[in-house]
Amino acid sequence: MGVHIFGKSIKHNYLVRIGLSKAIFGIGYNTAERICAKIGIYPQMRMNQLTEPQIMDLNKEISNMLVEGQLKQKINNDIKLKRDVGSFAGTRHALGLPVRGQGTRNNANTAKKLNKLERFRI
Amino acid sequence: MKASLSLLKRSVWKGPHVVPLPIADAIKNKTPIRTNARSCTILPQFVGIRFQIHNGKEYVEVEITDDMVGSKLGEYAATRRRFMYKYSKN
Amino acid sequence: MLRLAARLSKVSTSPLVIPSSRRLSTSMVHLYAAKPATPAGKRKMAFNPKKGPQQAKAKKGGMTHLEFDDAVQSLSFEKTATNLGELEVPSLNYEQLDNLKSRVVKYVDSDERILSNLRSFKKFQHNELYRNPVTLVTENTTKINEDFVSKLDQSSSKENRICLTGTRGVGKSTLLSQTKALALEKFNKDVILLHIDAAENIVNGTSDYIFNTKLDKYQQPMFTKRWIYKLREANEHILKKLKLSSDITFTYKRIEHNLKKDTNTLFDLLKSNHDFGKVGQTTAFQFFLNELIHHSKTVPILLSIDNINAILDFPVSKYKKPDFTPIHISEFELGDFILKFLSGEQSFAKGGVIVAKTGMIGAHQKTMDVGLNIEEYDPYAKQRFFDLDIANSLKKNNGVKSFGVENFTKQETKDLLQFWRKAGTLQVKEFYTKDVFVTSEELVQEKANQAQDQDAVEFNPEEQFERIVNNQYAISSGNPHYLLRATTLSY
Repeated sequence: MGVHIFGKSIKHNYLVRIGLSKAIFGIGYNTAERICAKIGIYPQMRMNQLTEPQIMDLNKEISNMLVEGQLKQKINNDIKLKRDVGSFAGTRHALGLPVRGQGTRNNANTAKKLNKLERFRI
Repeated sequence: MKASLSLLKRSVWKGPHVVPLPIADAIKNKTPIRTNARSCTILPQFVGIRFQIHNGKEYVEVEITDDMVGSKLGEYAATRRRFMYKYSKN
Repeated sequence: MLRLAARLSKVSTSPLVIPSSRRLSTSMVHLYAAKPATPAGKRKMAFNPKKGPQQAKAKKGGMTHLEFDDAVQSLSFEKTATNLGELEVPSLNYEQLDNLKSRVVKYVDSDERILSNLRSFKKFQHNELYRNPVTLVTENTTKINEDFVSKLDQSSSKENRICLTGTRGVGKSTLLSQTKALALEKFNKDVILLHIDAAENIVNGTSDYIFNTKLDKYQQPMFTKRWIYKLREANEHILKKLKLSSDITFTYKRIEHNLKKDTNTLFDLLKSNHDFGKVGQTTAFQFFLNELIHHSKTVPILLSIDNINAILDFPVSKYKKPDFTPIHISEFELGDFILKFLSGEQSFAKGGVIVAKTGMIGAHQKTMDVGLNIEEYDPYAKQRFFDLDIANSLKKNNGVKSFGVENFTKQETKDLLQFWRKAGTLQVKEFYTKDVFVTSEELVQEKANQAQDQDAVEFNPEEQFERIVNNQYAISSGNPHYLLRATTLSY
């Protein structure tokens, strides 16, 4: 029982603004609220209450934004650019180490997990 | 939707951090600029000029390209070498 | 095979141990314990084609998924509660109000129905204690009768604006119900009651909103529709008497409806016009309002709003415009309607506006206090605590009068407790308070001694009751909410 928005199935009893931000990469709580305000969806509306035109509006609105695959591609490209230019941040990404001056004596596990040249596999 | 985050780095009224450098000479003579000012912001005028940026020990030669505009000179002269284990006999 | 069958039969016939759980509880522990404890693996094989697959047991959970306060209301315990018939509780009567002073009364049946249609009986009021909601006629009732109800048919609503204030649990909402009941009694139901039971629903983002370009206001179809439905149910008697003053045409399900002036009634309008809840621009509510203003020359109209500080103290709503700026209460059609009638900018020729605060929210908000002249205007007040426009609008046209709801007096407290005692809600029991510490052995010894000579200790229930009254009055200082909690819920 899901509502399909932008190719994602969102559970029917989620609030629209929560559901959007949970399901779609690149949309957070604030952006979701802004989208809802623009379309005229009231704050406490739930996914199953959406009408057909509203879903279409949502899709249209979201498709104009930089989300999901395109956003991931952009992030990857940005990291790649830094590496190609030879900047310090690019090197740190390549090494899998923290970029912004954090220590590496202990921890730095988040950086080791995430910092790669290709951050998102698409 | 939001003002670019790069604007939040530094107060707008200060403008970019620029250090007086002999750019005109460098363009005319096509000579590299030797500098210790690692914190100088790269301006669009710098594109195409070669810099010799101090990394604490020696001067690293870097040619500025379009993509580097907005970052600092120091970002392109690494100050540390990666640790490599050297086998020694004793 | 036989052995297996025997084992299976043993499994299926063994009594399932379901621990008695607290009825209202929905905690995980209880639900978990309620599952039958049988070996899982074997059970699946027990398919008997003659019997068919074992039927799933009906789920024996709690009675409701709601939390206590909501559960008490939704389970409607009042249906099984004490019947008031034997107690001879009088009904709230306008003419004989003086005789009813300091007595517990119930509402006249028809009034009670109207009030419950308007959602006047709220949770936390513990109306589930008895079959019918009861209320105590206090000094406040007499005063509101003089100050407000008696003026309903004599002055316009502009001169008759009152705001009930007071601490939490003092009985503001109850007094609102009493006011409505008194008005109904006084005019023999020829009064239109416009009641909003929870004003926060206008601003908290729970209903849809649409911008009306003609009115330049935001409309709330869902909320308006529900409210109109309640009004229609409650005011059926009087609305059927009032004829429309102008023609109206509207379409519903692609059929055009025409209501003629002087033939069709206001009730017909509310019954057949579905534009109130239309998801689109409509002027249905404005039309209804104009009709009301027109008829207010003959019929008094009582506009009552509960939890008013939810919109006046917090005027910036949860709704957002397309450019993501929040919508102010005055930009809503209903909010604007409330503000206009509260400030006297618009008025009913006969009638009054009575609003009540809620003590649950907005302790630090200044808007209402300044608007009601309780507090001085502080020019440095922060915007989130104070809205100057609203405070000024409350002061317009001689201002909204503040009506401080008082706590019960000692006598009223005693009368109320006496009623509870008679109804069996309050139990007057003997209990000991010892100044000195005694060991359990000594206590046993003492009990044994008491058993020998029973005349030694005498329990006087009257004295005990008197003590309870004194005690509870001192603790609660006559606040009904605390009285109720202390005496009936935990005594």
